[in-house]
Amino acid sequence: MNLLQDRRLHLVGLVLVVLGLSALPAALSSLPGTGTDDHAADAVTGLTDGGYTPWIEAHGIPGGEQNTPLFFGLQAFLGLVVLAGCLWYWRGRQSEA
Amino acid sequence: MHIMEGFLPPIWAAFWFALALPVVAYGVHRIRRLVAEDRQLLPLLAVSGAFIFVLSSLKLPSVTGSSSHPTGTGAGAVLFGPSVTSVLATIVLVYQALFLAHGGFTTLGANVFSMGIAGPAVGYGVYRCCRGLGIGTCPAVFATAVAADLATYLVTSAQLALAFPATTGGVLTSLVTFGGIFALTQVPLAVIEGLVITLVFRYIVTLRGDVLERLDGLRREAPSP
Repeated sequence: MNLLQDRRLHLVGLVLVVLGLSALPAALSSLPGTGTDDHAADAVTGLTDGGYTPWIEAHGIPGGEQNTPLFFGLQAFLGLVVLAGCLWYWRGRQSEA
Repeated sequence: MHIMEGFLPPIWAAFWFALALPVVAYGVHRIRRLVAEDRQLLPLLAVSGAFIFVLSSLKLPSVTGSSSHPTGTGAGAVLFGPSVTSVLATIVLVYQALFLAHGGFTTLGANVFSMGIAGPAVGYGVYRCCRGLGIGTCPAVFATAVAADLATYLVTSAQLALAFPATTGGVLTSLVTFGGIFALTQVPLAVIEGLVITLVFRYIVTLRGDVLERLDGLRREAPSP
């Protein structure tokens, strides 16, 4: 019974860790400041004396820029679910052995 | 981070696609064969992909004043080699192009080449050298993750420098310009990535060292990449 309760407690802890860590990239993406890709775009403009314009427009973020944190958070969440799931599975296999 | 949509002339975009596609195709073939030989490798493959998903979602500010993200390809490079890692990186790059307008579909070939192939290939080479020299697993994994990360952004700089040589100084001047933007920013992030991957890798070895041993066995039979 204690073992079952321990496993449930660990599972709840793992879910909370996954949710908490998923919020981190979302928060980081909201910070002000430009990325290296923006600086590279400026450098291309500088090196070509403004002679290069992208031949295709970026389609943008679905639903608008305000969804950037959501999609960064979702990306991290998907990865963390897989990571936590596999570690959970391996831990289970180890304790069975 | 990645080369943005439309920021490579069509001829260069096509060139990088032509280089990346065969490697990704070979990677798909290798994944099928590895999983068919040992189903226990599937979670290890999933973990390698998860590393890329999680670490490349972290947009971190750096010393140069701009921000960038780790690549997370070091674990895949150590465990499966560059061809398999290229498939995992392609999935992440498609997600980022589709939902974050990060990178792009016209520059996907170039971004897959830098993040999914060149970075992991350099990382894999560093790992084999470290192991050959008798360096322990953890320092070797750390060196691999750092090297894979830095190589990715050096190659991105080279890709842009080749496409946009400076009027005075040519490709070399452009390489210095783009290297200053991408590679310098990446140094502290590469170190953070190395530490994170090493810690989790160490935990995985504790949990399922047997799976890693089986993977080593399969690698001896059919060497990566």
